[in-house]
Amino acid sequence: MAVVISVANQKGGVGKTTLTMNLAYALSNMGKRVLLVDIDPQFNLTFGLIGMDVLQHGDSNVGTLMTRESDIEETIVRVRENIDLIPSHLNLSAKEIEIINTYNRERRLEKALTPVLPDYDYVFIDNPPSMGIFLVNSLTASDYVLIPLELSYFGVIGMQLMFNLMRMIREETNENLKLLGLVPNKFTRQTKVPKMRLKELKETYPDAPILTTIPKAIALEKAQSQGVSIFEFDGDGRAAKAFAKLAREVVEIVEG
Amino acid sequence: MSKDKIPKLFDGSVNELTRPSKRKDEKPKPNLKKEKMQKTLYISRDMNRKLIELYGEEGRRQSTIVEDAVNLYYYLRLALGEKKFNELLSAVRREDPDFLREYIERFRP
Repeated sequence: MAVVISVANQKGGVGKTTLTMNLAYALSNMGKRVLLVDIDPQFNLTFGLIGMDVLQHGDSNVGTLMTRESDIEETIVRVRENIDLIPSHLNLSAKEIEIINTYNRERRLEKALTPVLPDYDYVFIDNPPSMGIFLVNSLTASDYVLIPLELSYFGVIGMQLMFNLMRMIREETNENLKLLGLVPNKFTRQTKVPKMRLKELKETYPDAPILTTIPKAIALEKAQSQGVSIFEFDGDGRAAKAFAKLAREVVEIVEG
Repeated sequence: MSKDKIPKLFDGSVNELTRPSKRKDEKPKPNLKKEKMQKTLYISRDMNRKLIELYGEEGRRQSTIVEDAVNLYYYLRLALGEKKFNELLSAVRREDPDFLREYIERFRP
């Protein structure tokens, strides 16, 4: 049975797309079948995985899926063995107003995904940072939320906004939504700030499930610009090892 | 307290967020198991064929098969929750026993 995980934080630039992509590769290397859903109008994940082919998906992307202009079978793109993608597109922003005015608008994504869930072990949804109909659809369709977290002042603020949004979603549209964990990202010891914020976070929320820390690494940036995963770019590096460890941790929590 | 200490913006329990919400209490139901009623169902010809096949092969009454089927549907839906139950249904709708067998083997409620 597929487990649906939203990668979300109401702050931009915290590494949602990097986390989604590399976690998917790590899980696929473990033999898990993964579906990625890019519901961010900035379509960075889609661009990272299929490049300029994104332009060919004007009539078959996550937006047209939610407005029922395309079927899920025709919308799914095979990226490689064990990884499929429902792409985003340049026109996704324009779809927002259309979806807002439709019936059952919070459950459009959930309804669209259900028929293909038996084909996968994990579904990861890469979210926009803004609180809108796309993020609400994503959280309504999800079993878990994974929050990448930059250990900065506004990074921790964004995490708290996610806690509040999760509480609202649990009350309104998805009582089974659970917090999978927080993933401190871009961690560096070059300044004292990340360590200080992590300490502060643990003091404020002693129960917070903090997962594997992902180090700040130039290799991640380079891998992304070349459209490859960290495992293909620098498989023996610290970042690749951290993502592999995180994937094992996710499997352990989810599958027990 | 340092000047730039992060303000606390969430007053709930993070521990609570890591678990599913508590289900609302269900009202006790009266015992209707012994009462019988007649019901006419409009079903597809394919479903009718399957029903005939089932009672023909198993030698059971149609009403018993329907009661078992509804019970199976009802309690699986309660046990799995609506979302996971819909996923299971979408696997069943493929009408492929081999696929369903493989799906159930890696089933996680």
